[in-house]
Amino acid sequence: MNHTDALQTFAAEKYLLNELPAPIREEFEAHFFECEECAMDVRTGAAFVGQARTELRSASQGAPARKTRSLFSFFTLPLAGALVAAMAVIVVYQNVVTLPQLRGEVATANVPAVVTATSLIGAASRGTDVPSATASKGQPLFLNVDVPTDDRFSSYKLTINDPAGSPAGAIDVSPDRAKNTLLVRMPGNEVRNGTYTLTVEGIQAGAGPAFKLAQYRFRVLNAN
Amino acid sequence: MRFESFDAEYTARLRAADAATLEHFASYFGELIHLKLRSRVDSREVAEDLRQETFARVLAALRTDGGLQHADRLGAFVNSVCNNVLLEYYRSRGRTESLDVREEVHPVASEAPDALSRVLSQDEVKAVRRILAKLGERDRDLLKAIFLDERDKDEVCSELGVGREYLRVLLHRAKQAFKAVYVKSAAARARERRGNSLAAAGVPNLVLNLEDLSAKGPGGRINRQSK
Repeated sequence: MNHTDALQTFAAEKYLLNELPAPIREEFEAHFFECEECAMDVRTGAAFVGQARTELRSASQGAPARKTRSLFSFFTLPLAGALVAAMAVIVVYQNVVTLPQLRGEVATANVPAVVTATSLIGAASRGTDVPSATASKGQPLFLNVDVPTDDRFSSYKLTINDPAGSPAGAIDVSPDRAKNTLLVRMPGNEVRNGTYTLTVEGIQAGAGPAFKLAQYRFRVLNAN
Repeated sequence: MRFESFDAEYTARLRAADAATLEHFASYFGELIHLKLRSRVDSREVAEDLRQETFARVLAALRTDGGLQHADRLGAFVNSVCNNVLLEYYRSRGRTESLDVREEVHPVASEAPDALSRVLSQDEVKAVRRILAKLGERDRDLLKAIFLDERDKDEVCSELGVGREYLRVLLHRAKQAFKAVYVKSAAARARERRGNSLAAAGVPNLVLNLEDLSAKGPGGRINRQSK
């Protein structure tokens, strides 16, 4: 295992999570015994995990104690029962009368809808399991993507290539946005069947070259 | 942080029992050996014994002609010695499987820090608290379930609706956020160690321990700090 492999495969993180198969774990250990940067990565991670455990333990032990029941609470129970009964009447009325009226209105209006997003998290280009996204006519595709952030970069770029390898779109992402999982929207009328590639690049301040951080593959099915 | 080059001059200083070099060697490789062993042996005490044995053999080999042929491969040599020490430990317990087969479930640093693990500085502790405070509740729950409760990762990820890659990226980001403070503290400790190398009260005793070690050969123990 060389240094680039270790970085690209998140070897330090997998090592700390005990996710490396035994042969790979030994390869990585042999590497970090000689690589100062990876050794520091592993030591930093282990130190963080150790202290995080202490902090999380303190937080869970310091949860507020259960309150003792006061005399007043004995009177609140019948009141709560009455309120629940009243709420039940309201709910039934809404279900029988109000909601059917509203449904008719909603059906003809543009309303928020639940969308299905395809997660590319874990779909690195070397993996054999390629996630699939089903395209519907006129409906956009949504993809969940994580950006492996690094302080070296002032911004990030996501580039999508279609099955033919041609650029299908590019998005600039700020470091702030990159901290969280991104929801990427692909217009539905432009997708076609086949395997797409989404490349994440880090851009350094100034005129530095882009640095490829991750590449994800996903398959589009049932496109027009 | 290394702050040293593993070269012929470094190994010569180790052979000469230079206090600062011994301190650096024990500190740098001690943590790496500790991480390697803690995921493979059940007992903290056994891990510490094996670590000491690794140190003893490496230092003994350095004093032997041809014991380490390429000074710049010191890291690989330490790792190789550690592997041999570990295999012998397994054999002594009547185990026949190789280093490859033994699969420990213990995550790294699964127990409270032992006596020789470095206690973090106040800055480092505050940095960890800051990083945890900035996490969302789900991310904190995820870290707690994995590292404190030591639950099955697939089960936890499934419960929280995330993938294993999400967990890795979360750990990566937290580690990167912590790195600057950790590296700075490591640099400060290295400077302090170099500054104190000749003035520390423990220096004569450290030299004495190495002489004892030479007399005993492998199987002796060295201490980073001795009274």
